[in-house]
Amino acid sequence: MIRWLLRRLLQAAVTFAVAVLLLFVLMRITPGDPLARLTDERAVSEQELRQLRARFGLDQPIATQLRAFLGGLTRGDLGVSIEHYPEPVTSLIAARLPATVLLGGTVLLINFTLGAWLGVRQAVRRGSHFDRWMTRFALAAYAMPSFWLGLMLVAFVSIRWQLLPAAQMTDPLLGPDAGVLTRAIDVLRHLVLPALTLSLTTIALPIRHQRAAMLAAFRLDFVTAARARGLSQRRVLWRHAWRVTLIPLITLLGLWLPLLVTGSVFVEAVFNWPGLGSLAYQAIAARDYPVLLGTAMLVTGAVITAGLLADLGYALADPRVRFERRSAPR
Amino acid sequence: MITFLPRNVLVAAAAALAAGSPAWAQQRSARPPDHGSAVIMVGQEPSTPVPTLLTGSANLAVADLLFLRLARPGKQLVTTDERTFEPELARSWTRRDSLTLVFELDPRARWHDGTRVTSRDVVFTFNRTRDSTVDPQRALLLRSLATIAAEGDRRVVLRFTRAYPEQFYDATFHVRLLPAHLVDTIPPSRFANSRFVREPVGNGPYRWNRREPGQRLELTGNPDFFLGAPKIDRVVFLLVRDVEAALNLLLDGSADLYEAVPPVSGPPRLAANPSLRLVTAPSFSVVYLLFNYRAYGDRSQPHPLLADPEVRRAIAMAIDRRTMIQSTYGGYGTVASAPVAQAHWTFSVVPHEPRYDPNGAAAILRQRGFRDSDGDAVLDRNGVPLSLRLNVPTTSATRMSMATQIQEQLRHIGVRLELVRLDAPVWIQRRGRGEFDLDFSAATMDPTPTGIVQSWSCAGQSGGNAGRFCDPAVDRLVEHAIAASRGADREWRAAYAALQRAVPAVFLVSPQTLVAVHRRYRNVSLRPESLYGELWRWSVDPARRIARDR
Repeated sequence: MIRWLLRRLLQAAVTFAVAVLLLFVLMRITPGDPLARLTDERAVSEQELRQLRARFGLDQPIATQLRAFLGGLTRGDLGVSIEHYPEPVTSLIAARLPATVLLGGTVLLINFTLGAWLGVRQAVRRGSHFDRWMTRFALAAYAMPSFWLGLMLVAFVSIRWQLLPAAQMTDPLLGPDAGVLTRAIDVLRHLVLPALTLSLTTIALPIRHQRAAMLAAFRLDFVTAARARGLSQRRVLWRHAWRVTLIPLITLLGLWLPLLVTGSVFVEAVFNWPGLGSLAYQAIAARDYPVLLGTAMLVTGAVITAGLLADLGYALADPRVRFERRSAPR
Repeated sequence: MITFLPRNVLVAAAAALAAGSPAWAQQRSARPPDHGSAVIMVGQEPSTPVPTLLTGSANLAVADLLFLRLARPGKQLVTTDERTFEPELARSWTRRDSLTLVFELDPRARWHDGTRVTSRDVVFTFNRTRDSTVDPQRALLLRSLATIAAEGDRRVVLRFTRAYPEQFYDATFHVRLLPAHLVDTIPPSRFANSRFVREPVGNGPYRWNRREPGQRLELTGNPDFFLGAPKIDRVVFLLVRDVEAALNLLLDGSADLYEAVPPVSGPPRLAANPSLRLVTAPSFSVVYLLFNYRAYGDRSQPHPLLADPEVRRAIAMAIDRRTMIQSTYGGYGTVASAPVAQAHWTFSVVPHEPRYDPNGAAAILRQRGFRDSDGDAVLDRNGVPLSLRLNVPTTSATRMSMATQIQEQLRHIGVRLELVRLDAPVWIQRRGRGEFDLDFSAATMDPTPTGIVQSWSCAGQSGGNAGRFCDPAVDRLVEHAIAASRGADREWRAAYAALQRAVPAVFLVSPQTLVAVHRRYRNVSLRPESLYGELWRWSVDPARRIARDR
C-alpha cells in the first residue's frame, strides 16, 4: 500500500506542477491588462504606471516572473493582490476559505446523507407514489438555475415572510465579543438559504445515482442469497446491498469534494456569501494574476486530492479492491 | 418523510433559527433616543482608507469619516473662491500675498489617540504627499506648491510657485492629514503593510474599530470630536458587490444605505419597503462616446472617417440623448454637453449643444459626399462604407443598454455601428492602444473643472487623452479660463463652446447618484464630493428607531 501511495502522490505532484505552469502561462497570454482597473479610475502618469508595473513584477519577462513566483511558493508566499493591494494572496484566501468550506461542506453533507438516503428509499419503494414524486421533484430542482431559485427563496423567505436573512454570512452588527452560541446561531441562520439553494439544485445527482446503484445491487446473487437466508430487510439493505453501491457514490463524492474550496459564484453573489468563488470571479474580471493563480492552485490541489481520496475510499469500501499495480476497481 | 430525527427536535431547531435574534437585538446598552447605527453597503472593498494610499470610492468614503482636511469646499463646490470654503482642521486662514497662504489650526482638534493635531502633522503629510514615489497622483496635483513650513504648533504657511485661482483648493482638497507622531518612523515603502494602515488613527468624527477582509469595516463615533460628537455612533461598511444582493439587504431591513441603486429597476422594487426612501445627489460623472481621431490601432494615421469634424457632428446630432436618459436612467440624469458634470460649478455655463436633429445629420453626411450607392442602407463614400466599431464594457449595464439604442439611432441616418462588447480589462487595454473607432467611456472627476486638461487637451495625449483630440485653440481658451479669477463664467463658456465645435466626443449624460436611505434618519445630506462626509451630523428620529439603534 505504501508503494501505491507513494506512486500516486508522485503522480499527483507532477499533475499539480504541470497545471500550475499551464495556469501561470495561460493567464499571462490572456488579453487584458491587470493594471487596467487602476488606470480606468483616474488618469495615471507614465511614471506611476512604471512604478505600479515594477511593484507587481509585471515589467519583467514571463520567465523571470515565473522564477519569482516559484521562489515565493517555496516560502509559502503567493504574492500580493493587485486588486486588493497590499493584501497578501494567502491572507485573502485564508479569510475566504472558512466561508466556502462551511457552505460546501454543508451541501456535501446534505447531499450525501439525505440524498443517498432518499435514493435508497426510492429504490426500496420502486414504482410507488413516493418514488415517482421524488423523481419529479429531484429532476425539477436539478433543472432550476441556482441563482433563480436563490432569488425566489430570498423574495419569499426573507423579504415577504421575514424568517431568515436575505444575504451575508453574519449579521452586519455582530460584534467580535459575541458569544459562541450567539455567533453559531447567527451563522446558521445565514447559512440556511444558500445551503438550501445549492442542495436543492444538486441533490438530484446523489439521489439518482443511489437509486440506480441500489436497484442494480438488489439483482446481485449474494443479495438474493442473503434474503434466502432469512435476514431482515434492514440487514439485507444496509449490510449487504448498500455497501456495494458505495463505489459509484464515492466516485461521485470524489468529483464533488472540490466544492469544499471552489464555492459557487452564482450562489455567493446572490447571498453575498464571502467565499472563494466570488474572490476567484473578481480576480478573473480584474486580471488579478496572483489571486487568480492562488485560487486556481487551491482548486487544482483539491481536485487532485479528491481523486486520491476517492481511490483510497474504493479500497476501504470494497475488499475486492487492492493497492496493486493495476488496482482499478472491478 | 424524514424519520431519523424526532419531529420535535426539527421543529425546535427551525423555531430557534427563525427567531434567533442577532447580536444587536441582544445588546441592552442604553443609547440616547436620537442616536443609532448605520449599515452602508459599498461595492468595492475599503482596504486602505488612509491618506497617500487612497484609491477607489469605498476607500474615499471611509477616509472622509476618519481623516479631515484643513478645509473643504462649501456647498456650491466653487473651487476658485476660498471665501466659500468651510473650516475643518484649520480654524481660519489668511493670505500674506498672492503666493502665500497661512492656516491657523483649530486648537481643539485631536487625533484619536488623544494627541493634539499640530503644524508638524501638516508639514509631514504635505511633504510625504508631494513625494512622487509615495503618491504620484497627488504629487502631480501639488506641483505648484513650493514650500510648506510650520510657525509654532498651530500655524502653517504654504507658499506657491505661481498665483492661480485654485491655489486654495489645491492646498486643502487633495490632502487629508496623517499623524506624524505615529507615521514618521514608517518608511514609505513599508507604509502600505504597516500596522497603522491595518488600524488607522485618524482625527475625524469616527474612529477605527475593525475590518473583516472581504466582508465589512466598522467605525465607531468619536465622542470627543471637536466639531460635535456623532449621533450615528456605529457605522458598518458592508461589502456587497452584487446589486441584487444589495437591494435584498435593503428590503429585508439588514442595511440602511446604498448608493448604487439601479435607476430604472431599483425605485419600483424599493417602493415595496415603506421604511426606505430615495435621495438623489448630483455626481461628478459624465458618460460619453469618445471619437478616435486616429486610425483604428494605428496612431500614426488620421482616422479615415472620424478625422472629419462634420462626420463627428452628424453622429452627435443623430443621437437623442433626452430619450436615452429617460429610458436608461429613469430620468435620474441630465444631458451633458461637455466634459462637465452636474455637480461642477461650471455646469450651468455650458452651452446646450448639439441639438437632436437626425434630418440635419443626414444632410451633413450627404454634403460630405456619403451616398447609399449599393442599396444596403449603409452610406458609403468612394466605396468605403460609413461603418464604425463601438467598444462597450460589458460591466456597465447602462452603457450596454444605451449602445443598442445608439446603434439603432445611427442606423436611421445610414451609419452602421458594430457593438464590440468587451470584458473590462480588455476594453481598457484597447482604449489605451487606440483600438476603437468610438469608445463608450465614463469619467468621474474631481470638483475642479480644470481636470478637463487631462483628457481634452494636446498635452493630455501622453496620458488620459485616448482619442488623441488636439486643438490648440481649445487649449488656449481652457488655459485662459483656468487662469481667470473667480467668476470666470464667460471664459469657461467660451472654452466649452470651442470644445463643442471640435466635437471630440458625444457627451451624453451626467447621471445623478441615487441613494436608498432608511427613513429613520434626520438631517440627511449627501455631498457629491463626499457622499457620507456629513454622516456625523445625522441623527435618528426617536419615533422610528429600530432594534439596532438601541
